[in-house]
Order: sequence, then structure tokens, then C-alpha cells
Amino acid sequence: MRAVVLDGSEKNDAALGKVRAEVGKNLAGMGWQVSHLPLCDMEIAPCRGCRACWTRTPGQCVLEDQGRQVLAALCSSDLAILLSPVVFGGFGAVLKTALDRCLGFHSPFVERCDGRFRHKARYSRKPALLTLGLLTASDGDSQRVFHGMVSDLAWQMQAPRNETLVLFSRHSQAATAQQVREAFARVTARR
Amino acid sequence: MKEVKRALLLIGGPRGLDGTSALLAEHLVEGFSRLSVATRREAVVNVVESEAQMEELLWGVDRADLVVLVSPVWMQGLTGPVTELFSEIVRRRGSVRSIRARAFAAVLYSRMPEAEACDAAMAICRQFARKADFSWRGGLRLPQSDVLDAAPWFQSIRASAVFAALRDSARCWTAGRPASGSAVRLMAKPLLPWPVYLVAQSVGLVREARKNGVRELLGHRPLGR
Repeated sequence: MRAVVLDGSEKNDAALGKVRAEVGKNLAGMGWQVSHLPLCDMEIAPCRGCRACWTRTPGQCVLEDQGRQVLAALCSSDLAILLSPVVFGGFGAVLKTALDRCLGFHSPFVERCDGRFRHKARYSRKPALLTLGLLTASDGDSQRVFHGMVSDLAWQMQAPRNETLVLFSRHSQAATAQQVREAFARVTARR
Repeated sequence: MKEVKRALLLIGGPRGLDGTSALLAEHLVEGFSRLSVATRREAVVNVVESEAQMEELLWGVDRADLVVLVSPVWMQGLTGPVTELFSEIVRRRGSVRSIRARAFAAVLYSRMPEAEACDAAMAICRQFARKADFSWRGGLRLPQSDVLDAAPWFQSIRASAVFAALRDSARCWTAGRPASGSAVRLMAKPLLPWPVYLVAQSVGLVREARKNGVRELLGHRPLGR
């Protein structure tokens, strides 16, 4: 089994560093093959919106930088772990810029499913999604928006399982460790 | 009463001053000009690549009475560059306390058939306004944005109501009010019935792929199974 960590923490982000460490421990214990992508250290240009990944080089981005690694890892994983500060109820710019480059993950065609619309899947293998967002202080509105946004994203990506956790930087390492462990257990549980 | 003398339009699309965001912004500019509101447009994608341009834009945000984001919705959220800019604005407004609260509004669009595809991103905009201490003037959601890439004659038939709603919203925002209910409804109303839109969208994609010689490869899986 393969997992990819799309690490959207910014440089010297100690609080997300703690979460990252917990993610590492959990993955190590599972014996999975893991790719850790520290997005802020990678050269990833913003998506140009050219749609070449749909109608010129289907499934592949034409920009030749490390953004391609993100899409490749996502397409070959059983579990994608998204790690990001919660920014206005969404992802931080580092993770969002990388995700924007993954348009080729989907087919360009749109389908109606359960009364809603989404892109058709390009790949039959879709990763389960574990999203860990970090807030510096409790903020009910941001948490609600974040949960709603990730839930929509997981539905769009047709993730077989989706688990979203908002953590707080003031929490102790032990509390964070427990929450992350429980989230891992839920998202990797056989259904 | 005119509450807005200077408006700043943030063009969030990746093609800067030459894409769908810019086209929509053009009609806002037209609405503002009729009311003698000075407008300035800035392409976010250019700004985030240059520290000097970012500083200049942040200065422009401080001076504007109204800031409007016009942006596509990607992956359920705002684009990476728009998120980066928003974070910079909040950082700036947090450190310069003399800046008084001003107004912020958003025009978001999606190629999905229904306006609900913009909801999560609109909620993010509202959170941004709160964090940046802007007063939130609400937002407009436009579905089926691919129609705006269609031939001009088709665009003028289907999208004229959209452009009128933008001009009307400029009027409301200038007066310090949220966009009118009718403008919000007009923008959110699908330009085509969804089955027709999906067929037209698919035909457009296939035609584009054929032109690029990859018609048979549209469903290609180069990176997995």
C-alpha cells in the first residue's frame, strides 16, 4: 500500500512540524510505502489554467517543474494525507498551489451524481483522504468552512474514505498524537 | 449616497488581464465608471511573483474604499495565488492598525453547471473579509463559465443578463450596500439547462482535443491505473 503526504506547512512552522512527526510515526507503524512531499521546498508554479492536462497532454501537466511529482504521487497512492494550516477556512497557499496543479487527476468531463456535479474519474484507483488542518486558536466558523470544503473536495475526488481533523497548535503533543492516531485508524479501517 | 470613491479589482484568474476574470471585471469597471468611481485592476498571478508589485498592491488595498475579487473556483477553493495574496493582506492589516475597515466583495465563477460549486470558496472569501476586518458586501456566483469562452454572438445572447447583474452590483456596492437579490439570482441562474450545457461542454472539449491530435487520448491514464 502506498501513501503520500502532501505537506503544506510553511518554512519553520513548528506547530505543523509536530503534526508531521505524528503522521510519520503512524505511517511507519503501518509498513506502507510513503512519499513525503515538502511542498514549500519544491518548485511548483501556479496552474496556468491552460487546460493542456485535459486536451493537449491528457492527464499530464505541461509545466515542467516539481508540480508533476504531486500529481504522479496522488495518482499512485492508496492514501493521500493533506497537511496544511487552516487559512480562512481553506488550505494554505502552499498546499492549494500544489493541488491546483492536479487538475489532470480528473477527466475533463462532468457527470451528475446524487443531484450534484463533479468531474468524471480518470483513474479507477482513488486515494482515501486524510486531511489534517491546523489552527492557532479555536474558530468555529473557520472549522465549519474547512470541514465543508474538504468534504466537497473528497466527493469530487471520489475518495473511498475521507477523514478531516482540525488540530490546534496550543494542544499538547500527547493530545495531538492521540487525535492523529484515531484519525489514521478511522481512515485506514477496512470497510 | 456614494460611499465608494476608489475601487480595486483583484483579477484572480490565471490569465491575468486577458481571461474570464478580466472579462467579468470589465463589466464591473463599466458600472463603476458610470458612477465616477475610480477603478484599478490588478492581476493577482503577476503580483504574487514580485515583492515590489505585492507591496504596491497592498498599498492600493489600504487606499481603496472597496476591494472586489473576481476569480475562478478551483478544487473547491480559491486559487493558490489568491490565497497567498489574502494571507499577505491580513498580515498587513494586522500590523498597520491605522487602516480602517473597508468593504470587500467577491465574484466567483465555475465551469460546473450549478452555482453551488462556488459555495465553499465564497465561504472562504467571507472568512477572509472577517479576518482582514473588511465589511463583507457579499458575493456573486456564476456557474457554467465555459459559456463565456463561446463565440461572441452566443455570449451576447446568453450572458447579457450576467453582465447587467455585474453593472447593477457595482451600483449597489458603490452605495455601500450588498449586491441586490435580483443580481445575485441572475448571476447564479444557469445560462443553459444543465443537460444542454454538459453536451455543449463535452463537444467543446472533444473538438479542442481533436485539434491537438489527442481525441482518442482524452481518457488516457499516464500516471496509474
